[in-house]
Amino acid sequence: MKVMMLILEAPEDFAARGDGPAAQVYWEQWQAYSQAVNDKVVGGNVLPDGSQATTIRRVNGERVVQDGPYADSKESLGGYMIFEVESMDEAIELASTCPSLERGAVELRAIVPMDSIA
Amino acid sequence: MTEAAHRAVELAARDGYGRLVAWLAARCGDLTLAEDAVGDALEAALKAWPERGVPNNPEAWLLTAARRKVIDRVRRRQTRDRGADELRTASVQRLRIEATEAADTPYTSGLPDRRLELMFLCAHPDIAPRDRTPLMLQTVLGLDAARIGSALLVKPATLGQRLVRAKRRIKEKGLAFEVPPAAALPARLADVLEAIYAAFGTGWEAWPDADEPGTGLAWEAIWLARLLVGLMPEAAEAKGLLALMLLSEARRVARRSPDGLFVPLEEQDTGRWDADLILEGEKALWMAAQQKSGGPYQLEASIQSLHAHRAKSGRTDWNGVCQLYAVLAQLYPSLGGSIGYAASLARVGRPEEGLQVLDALPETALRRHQPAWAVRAFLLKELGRADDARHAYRQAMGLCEDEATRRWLAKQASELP
Repeated sequence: MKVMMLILEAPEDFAARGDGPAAQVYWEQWQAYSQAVNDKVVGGNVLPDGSQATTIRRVNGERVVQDGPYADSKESLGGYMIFEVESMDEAIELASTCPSLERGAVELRAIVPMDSIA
Repeated sequence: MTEAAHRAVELAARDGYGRLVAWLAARCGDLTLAEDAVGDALEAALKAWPERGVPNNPEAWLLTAARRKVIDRVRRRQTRDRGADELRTASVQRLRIEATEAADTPYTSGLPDRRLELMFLCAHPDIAPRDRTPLMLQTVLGLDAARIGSALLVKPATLGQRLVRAKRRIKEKGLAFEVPPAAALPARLADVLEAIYAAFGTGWEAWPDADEPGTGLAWEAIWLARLLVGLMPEAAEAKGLLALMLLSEARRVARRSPDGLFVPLEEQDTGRWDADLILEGEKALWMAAQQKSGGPYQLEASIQSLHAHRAKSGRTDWNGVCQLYAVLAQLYPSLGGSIGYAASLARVGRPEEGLQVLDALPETALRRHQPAWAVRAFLLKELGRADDARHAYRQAMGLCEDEATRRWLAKQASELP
């Protein structure tokens, strides 16, 4: 089965992506994590922080384009990974050492196979 | 209420929970029913006690309430479901409870402790090994699926379903609520000890806040082992397990420097080790040794005892540690034992052999095993294989839950030539 891990990062972690010693620690931990779970990863990407997002919705029939993320919370989506695993428990184990857990969180969702949708 | 009194109340409540569940389940043969009834009784107590005061014998009160709940539920089931099998089972349960009622009154004499039987039931060969630890934590200690799932890395809903199935299996197969007969005892006891140690292992790796000792699954495991030692004084290995866990737990706080950095065992400030826990551990180990019935837990506890000795001698007897690991690996091979052996070989100037020990282990078991990668990295460093060591340190970092340890591993890697 495929499981998507949504990586919810804290503002400090987004801030650490730039330069300097914090950036070195940040990327070092992510590289180590990616290396350790590499054999189970079938996809993934890094995303900029929520302030860079554009949200579009329709309100009373009128299109509204907004700067910023859909959901306003302290953490925002900083990226995602897709695991190929035997079970959700295996995905939980892989996710348990994700560096974002220190200050943020991850959310796991099983991907619904397209051929199962009638 | 003081912190200590609060803790005492919590322990008393937990003690009562397991006792009541064990006692009821032993009689009705239905663990789910027993747990539900005790849960209901505790809920009733929460309502009644603040209004009417805590009864003189809270346990007897809870037992009476729980027993009433069992009978209520059995009656309700009878009227709801008139299936012949169900009806017969229910009647038998009710009869069993009522038949034993006379024998066990007055309750003030204290409830016969059936928790040992309950522990053996939870680690029964017919229960899947992965379900044994959570089943024990839930039925003996009353922990909920959310907490157990968090510690064991299982989705709480999945764990809940697994436990429901395990309890149904106990009921349907009529698994015996007993201390196993002598012939089967050593193997069955080993399963009980393994289930307790598994809880400790997850608690140990989970790194609860250093300033909150007494929390986390490691403490629950120690509690179970103390209970087991009390209920089964003849089992030397139960004492060995208790000693092993106490001696390890004694160092928990010292694994972090005051400013939050990871401190490896050999660099820990022995002044920050918990002398009381070490003493209790040494005592348990000594008492186990008097029984002249050795085993893996006593051996592992002896290794931890050698480490603890640094508090007095100021140095670690690595040769002794290495020899004990060699005996452990030979007599009772295990993944953890082999990794410890490999690490100790590096300490006595034999890193090449350490690497051979690791290479002989199944690759699938090691691929995502953080301590194995950390030890491998150390061995490779000692052997001067800097690039391989870097890769291993990075792998260990990626498999590590704790940021302080990740930073320490990164520092080790950065110091490689």
